[in-house]
Amino acid sequence: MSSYSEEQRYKIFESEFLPHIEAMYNFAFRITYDEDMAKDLLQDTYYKAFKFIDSFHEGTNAKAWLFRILKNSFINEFRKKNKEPSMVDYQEVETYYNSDDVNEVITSDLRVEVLQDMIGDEVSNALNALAVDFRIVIILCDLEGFTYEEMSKILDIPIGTVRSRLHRARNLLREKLKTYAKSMGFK
Amino acid sequence: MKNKNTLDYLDCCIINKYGEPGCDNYSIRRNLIQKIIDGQASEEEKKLYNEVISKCNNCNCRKYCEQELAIKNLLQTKLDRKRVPLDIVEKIKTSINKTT
Repeated sequence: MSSYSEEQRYKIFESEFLPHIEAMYNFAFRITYDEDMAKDLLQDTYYKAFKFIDSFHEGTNAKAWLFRILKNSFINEFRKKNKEPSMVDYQEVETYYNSDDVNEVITSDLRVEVLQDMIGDEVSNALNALAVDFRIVIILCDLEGFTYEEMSKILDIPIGTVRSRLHRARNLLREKLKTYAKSMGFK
Repeated sequence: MKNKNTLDYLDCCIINKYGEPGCDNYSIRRNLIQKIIDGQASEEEKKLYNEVISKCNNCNCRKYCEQELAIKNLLQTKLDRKRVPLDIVEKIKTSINKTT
């Protein structure tokens, strides 16, 4: 653990933590789907980051470190307050991932051209309809560009589980988009 | 006999274990495709993908890869990034100043 001077703390906060505020806010909003809660979560995360700044090593991955704090705050405090149950059946995920189901691709078919015609609201609704644990992996990987290894550290789960959860999340998202495409008359 | 855990097992569109056309050992190939989609494949894995799956026009794995890429692209291009509320940085700074 490092021990920073007061001046160093503020310097790290300004130069390494604050530049990620937009990504953090978007992450908070996407997992809470509530602007006020996202703001509270963001403030709480930055407050904790400053309070525990000695456990951050200057020059390392500040974005991943901050995302980890935000995710933990959400799981441990914000989600409890709202009593949102976890919707993910992890056993199902693991079983699914280890299967050799060759029909999976065929039943999940969705034309690429159909996807390109979709509008932002529908994509957003489909993403928000996913259970939060699935939503989180998609946001971290596809929107924020974290590697599997970084996601593993942020989420405190093995890389294999990151990948299986991501795979399942994308399949669920594809199914939701497919349902939407059908409702719009696409075949 | 080929080792199922090595990447040279990636023959594409072979007859699967149920005697139907399709991709055998799909989970290994799915692993590779996921890494390709997410830009996390090694040079060796990229080479294997380019030499086998990308050249297979009727391959389900290839179709799957195209769909996944399209969905990833959809997320990146159609979802708006929200702007950070103007007052939030000041509120954060005020709260941390109270701790010092």
